[in-house]
Amino acid sequence: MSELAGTFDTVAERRRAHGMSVWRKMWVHRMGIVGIAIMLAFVIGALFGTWLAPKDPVAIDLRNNLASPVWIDPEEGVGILGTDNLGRDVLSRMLVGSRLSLIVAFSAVVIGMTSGVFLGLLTGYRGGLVDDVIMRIADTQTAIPFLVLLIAVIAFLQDFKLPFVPTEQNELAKMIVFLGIGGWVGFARLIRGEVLSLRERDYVQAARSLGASDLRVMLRHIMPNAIQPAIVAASLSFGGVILTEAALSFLGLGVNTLVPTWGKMISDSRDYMTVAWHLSFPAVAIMLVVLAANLLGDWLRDILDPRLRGRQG
Amino acid sequence: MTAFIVRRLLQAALVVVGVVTLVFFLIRVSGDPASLGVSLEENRTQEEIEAEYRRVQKQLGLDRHILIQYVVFWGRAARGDFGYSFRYSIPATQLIIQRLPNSLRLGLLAAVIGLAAGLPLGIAAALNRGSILDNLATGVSVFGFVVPQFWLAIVLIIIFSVHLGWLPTSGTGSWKHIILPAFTLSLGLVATVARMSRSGMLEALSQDYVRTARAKGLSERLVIFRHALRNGSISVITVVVSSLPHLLGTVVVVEVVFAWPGVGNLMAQAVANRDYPVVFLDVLLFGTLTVLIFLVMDLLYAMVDPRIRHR
Repeated sequence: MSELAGTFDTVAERRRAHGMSVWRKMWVHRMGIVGIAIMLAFVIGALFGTWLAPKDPVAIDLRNNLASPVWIDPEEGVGILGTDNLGRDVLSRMLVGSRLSLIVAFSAVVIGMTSGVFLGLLTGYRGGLVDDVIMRIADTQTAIPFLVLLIAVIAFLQDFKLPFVPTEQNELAKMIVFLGIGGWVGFARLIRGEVLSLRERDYVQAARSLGASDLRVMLRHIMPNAIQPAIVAASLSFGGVILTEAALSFLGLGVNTLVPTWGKMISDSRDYMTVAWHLSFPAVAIMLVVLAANLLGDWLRDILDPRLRGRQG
Repeated sequence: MTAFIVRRLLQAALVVVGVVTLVFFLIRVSGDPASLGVSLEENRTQEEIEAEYRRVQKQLGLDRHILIQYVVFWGRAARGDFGYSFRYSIPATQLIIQRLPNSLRLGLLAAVIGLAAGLPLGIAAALNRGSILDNLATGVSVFGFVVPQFWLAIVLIIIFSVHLGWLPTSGTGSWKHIILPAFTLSLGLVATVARMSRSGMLEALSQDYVRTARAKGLSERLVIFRHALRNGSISVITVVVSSLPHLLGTVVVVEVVFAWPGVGNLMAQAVANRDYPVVFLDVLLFGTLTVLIFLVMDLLYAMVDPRIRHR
């Protein structure tokens, strides 16, 4: 994953940007502000979706199915974004479904980041056999295209039950965990690289000489200095997770819920899109969120650490 | 160099072994493959079904300890025997081999489109920074990056097949059938290549040797093609090759939308049918392809840059 709309394109420009104050950089990098604004709008939509929704997202109205949005067809149209094949209000479904879409992506990224950061710290700091084994597992996982691996894992673990999760949430939780576990490799490699250089620094030696335990050195001294790239990578991977979830839903491996995720919504309505183009609005929402997440990630990267540009997220 | 090649080959082999092991154990925790091999026809007694179940279990070797199964599995795999498809009752390898040419054709065409469209777009954007062309290139790469592939495919089908009637909606047959799937598949690559060649080119153009080349009076054409492009291309190749596994993954989605009879579509069907030997072989194929891609890339690097061999 790399920058979408570059503001600081070359090393020289980045060096110049390095001297700017954070506020100046924020202003120069206006696309980041756009990303934040879009993201904020979607988060508000997700938080208050159930109140903002003009209609009941699951109310079926077969007399008004596949109706166009009112602003296209003032006579026959129903609702701001029209209705689906069962006459359900598209906008309301998108608003209520946005919570699920964003929660799935957010939790998956958090799981991927937490496990990746932990394993990256461990392998980078400890080295030796632990490092070898974990990095070989990472190699193995990267060797399989992520979507292919996910398809296989979901297929094979169809009947798998996660512990501590109520049965009705099992499918959803599994989806989140699988999507999340897919992300650990990127984070682990990123953190490991940072740790390898940080652990030789004087201040780490000093902490160790003062008798700090390994755990304390890792968590208090190394992690805070290694975490920035992981935060940037997390933001950049958010969009990827949303798209992956959508693709899985399309392949029939998504989660069945009363109000589905955006990806599932598109895949459910694909047979009707020929006659009702407005069923594509969930796809527009996906594109906007993915765009926003990437703009946000680029922005964070430029603000936090210009060295990072061009690296894999 | 020989030592490097040997070491790198061993690493690649280790990863493939890892992939096989991972999928093997995934299948074994997935439940009971033997129960899927039993036909549940009517007018059969419980005993008959149980007898067949035990026969299938024995045939698949599932009655033995899992580690023994693992060893046996490797023995078979070494002879190219990956078991029979539960659904089609022919060897899984045969199924894959039947479908592979279709996927390769699609993938290669997409790769050609991706490079042929992405490279000029990115380079032209870098040379005319801030122009309409640059904005267009950025627009294309942003779109290719954020669009859900299957939705794009549906929209393309609606436009070019349903409304305009120029191209078939799905399947294979004439050369017209491959256009829409190849285009859909290539868009992600166009986006990546355009973006990376743009920034690679900008980076190269800002270097001192470009200024030197200009200062000594070389023509702009020579500066761009001899100096900037050559040096900028290495980072482009790295990023493009690293993005290939992701693109391999999207093959599955694109093949399903267009009912393209390739290995990706086969995998989606096999998953729906719980046809584990086929899923297994498909994952192995995708994994091996990825490992090979990275292996070739590393070897090429080592040939170009002697420093890498000694790392």
